[in-house]
Amino acid sequence: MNIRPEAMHWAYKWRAPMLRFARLHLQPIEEAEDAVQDALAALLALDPETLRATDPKRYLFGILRNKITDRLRRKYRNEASFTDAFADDIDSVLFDEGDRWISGAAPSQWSAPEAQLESEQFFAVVDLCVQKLPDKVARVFSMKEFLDCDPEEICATLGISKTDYWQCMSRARKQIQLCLNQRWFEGGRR
Amino acid sequence: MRSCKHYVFKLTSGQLEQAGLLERLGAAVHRLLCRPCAEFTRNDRSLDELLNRYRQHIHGDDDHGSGPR
Repeated sequence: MNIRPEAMHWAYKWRAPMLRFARLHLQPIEEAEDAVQDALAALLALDPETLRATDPKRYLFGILRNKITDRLRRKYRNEASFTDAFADDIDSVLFDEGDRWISGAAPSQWSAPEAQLESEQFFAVVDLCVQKLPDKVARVFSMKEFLDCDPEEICATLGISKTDYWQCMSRARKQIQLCLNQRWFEGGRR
Repeated sequence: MRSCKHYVFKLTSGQLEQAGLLERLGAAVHRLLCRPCAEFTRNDRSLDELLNRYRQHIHGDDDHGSGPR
């Protein structure tokens, strides 16, 4: 059995989702395309026996994940600190001087969030909320949530401290919750 | 736990997951006494599942794992 046509089929089938995934982490788009091509090339270079024993999608995204983190590591290794990761202060919108919630600022509990998971429109809103994160915050957040990197790997790759990491993750989760609250759960889009 | 801002930072940064028993108990007490923080926490937990499904959505359908370079 010749494995190459199978590999070509998988590459054709998964290229678009892979590119969508790579674009979450790499800009400009040309760099994301390069990472996807590197991953596909690695698949084609694989020996047939290994390829037959592999779940192709799992394998492809696994290769892609590593290609992306390699590129991020090279790109951000020498970058200065993350102290300017976010110019605005989301906490000043949420908390008063005594560090308690400002009246009306706290999101109320989401109604049946699991019921939204089949909705394309809902995922478009999630996409928008993720895209609206400040760049450096988005980089940390997407490595953690979408590349499954552990905090130590993220800090080493991006050259940031653990404190920077915590600040970025906290900012991301607060901002995404607020965004989903405004644009979906309380926004009348259901 | 000192304040809502402090509690929310510990929760959203991921530090609470790794915290010791005393700190987690302090957080639980804070949630009992503070409805906005309790609701924010439930949303934050839902966010994990939403993001998991969002990731699957980006991938096309099911999940993936890490692999070779």
